[in-house]
Amino acid sequence: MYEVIMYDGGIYRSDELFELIEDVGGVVLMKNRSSQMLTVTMSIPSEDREVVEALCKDIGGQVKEVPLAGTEIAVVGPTLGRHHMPHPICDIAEYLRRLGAVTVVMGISRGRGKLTSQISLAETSTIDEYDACVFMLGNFKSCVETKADLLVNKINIPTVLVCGPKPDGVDHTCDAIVHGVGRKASRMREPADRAKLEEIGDRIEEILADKKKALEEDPPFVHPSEIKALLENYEPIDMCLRPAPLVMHLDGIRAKISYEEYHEEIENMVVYGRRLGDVCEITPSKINDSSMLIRIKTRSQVAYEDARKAKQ
Amino acid sequence: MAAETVVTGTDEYGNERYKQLYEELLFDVGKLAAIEKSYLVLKPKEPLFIVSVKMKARPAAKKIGDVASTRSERDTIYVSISDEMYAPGILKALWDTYGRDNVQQLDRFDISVKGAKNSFEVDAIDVESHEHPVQEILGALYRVLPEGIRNRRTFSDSDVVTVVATEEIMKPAYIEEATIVHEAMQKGGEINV
Repeated sequence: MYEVIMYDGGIYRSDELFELIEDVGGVVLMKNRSSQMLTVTMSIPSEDREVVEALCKDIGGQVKEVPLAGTEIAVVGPTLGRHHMPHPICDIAEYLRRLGAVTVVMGISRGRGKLTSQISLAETSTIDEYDACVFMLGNFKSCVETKADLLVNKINIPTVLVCGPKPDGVDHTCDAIVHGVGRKASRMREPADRAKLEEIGDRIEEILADKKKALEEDPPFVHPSEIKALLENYEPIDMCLRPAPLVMHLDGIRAKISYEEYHEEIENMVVYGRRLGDVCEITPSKINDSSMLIRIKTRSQVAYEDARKAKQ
Repeated sequence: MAAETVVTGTDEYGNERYKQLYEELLFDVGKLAAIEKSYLVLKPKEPLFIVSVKMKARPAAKKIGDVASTRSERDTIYVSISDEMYAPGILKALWDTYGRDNVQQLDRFDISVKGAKNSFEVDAIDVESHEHPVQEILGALYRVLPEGIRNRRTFSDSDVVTVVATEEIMKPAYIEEATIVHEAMQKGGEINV
């Protein structure tokens, strides 16, 4: 079993940390260096956690829990306009980032209004690419109830609805509701606001724990971090200038390189003696051609496909 | 005296939060202090939103003499800005009048002008029309109203500005309701809508 932790400290002797991660068979999920400071999110085997923690402390750093590491979460608002977008949505996205998630903020093209709002199939399928979604609505109860049914209901991934008043009759539209955060024109700095952010983080953690539990029943053929380790040295990824060229999902990975250009090469890579194209579904992202999604097939799915091939 | 904000509507939670949101947005544009009373009607179920604002006084046009002090030295007029909010406006007005070569910003608050006859001439240059503050308040009111509530009518008389907004068809009853609020704000009486 792998565990995800974050090292937060200086750059001094960090090469020893990277060597140890490699020695114990772990993977660096994300590395951020700012001047002399370094944060490393890593996935390591549970039995080696103590050794890694001891080294982190020895080289003067701290070890932090990052419950959402290895996930990509969409924070969605009704539009990208200044009425909806600025404060609560950005604060939620930033808070989830501190818990280790990679977050993406997005707005719906026709999400504003009550009688005229709508969500398109392209938008729902784009949101469905992520591990979980936080959907932010406003301050009026009737609007929240209408729009939860109209917009949130169509999303197929675990969703936390964040809104002002406590809505009634919308439990079926989402997996969790956090009320008390509506539209506002100031940052979420007050203690009550911070408590709400923590509550949102907890709810996301819970719904992702459910998803992880469901995945454990029939786990992916390989762990996403192993695919990440395989792709890291692939030249187009290595040369990619985007901030996080590889983003881990619970059941796969997002590679931010063109699908059209590189999917065949990636499909022909080998993991545990198998073609990657045989054990993963590689598809272009719905956003545009600049990224692709690699969803790892489950063990039973691979076994079933092998059995079918053997029969033929 | 602090501005009074009254919010009525069908959604208790929304009323409370919109009062806060309204005051924050008006404070952001620096106009909260210029407002005597505000009245908000929020009926999200219809949807109908009325925001009426009574200003302490009808804003007057601002001239350079109102927001800066000027003094003349030989052939140069020195402008010392006292309200920094108008600094970009003053600079633009001086550039438009005397040309960029004759206007020099010496530091954050001080500008020297060449080519002016005397300081009275500089004092009399308009920096901001009397409509500008009203436009800023209207801009803030549009930001207070929900984004999808795009069908708007505006009433503006002397010192009261009222905006009525709905999402689809502006019914005569909505305009009537807004007129009642607008007139009551002008007269200062009780409002029952």
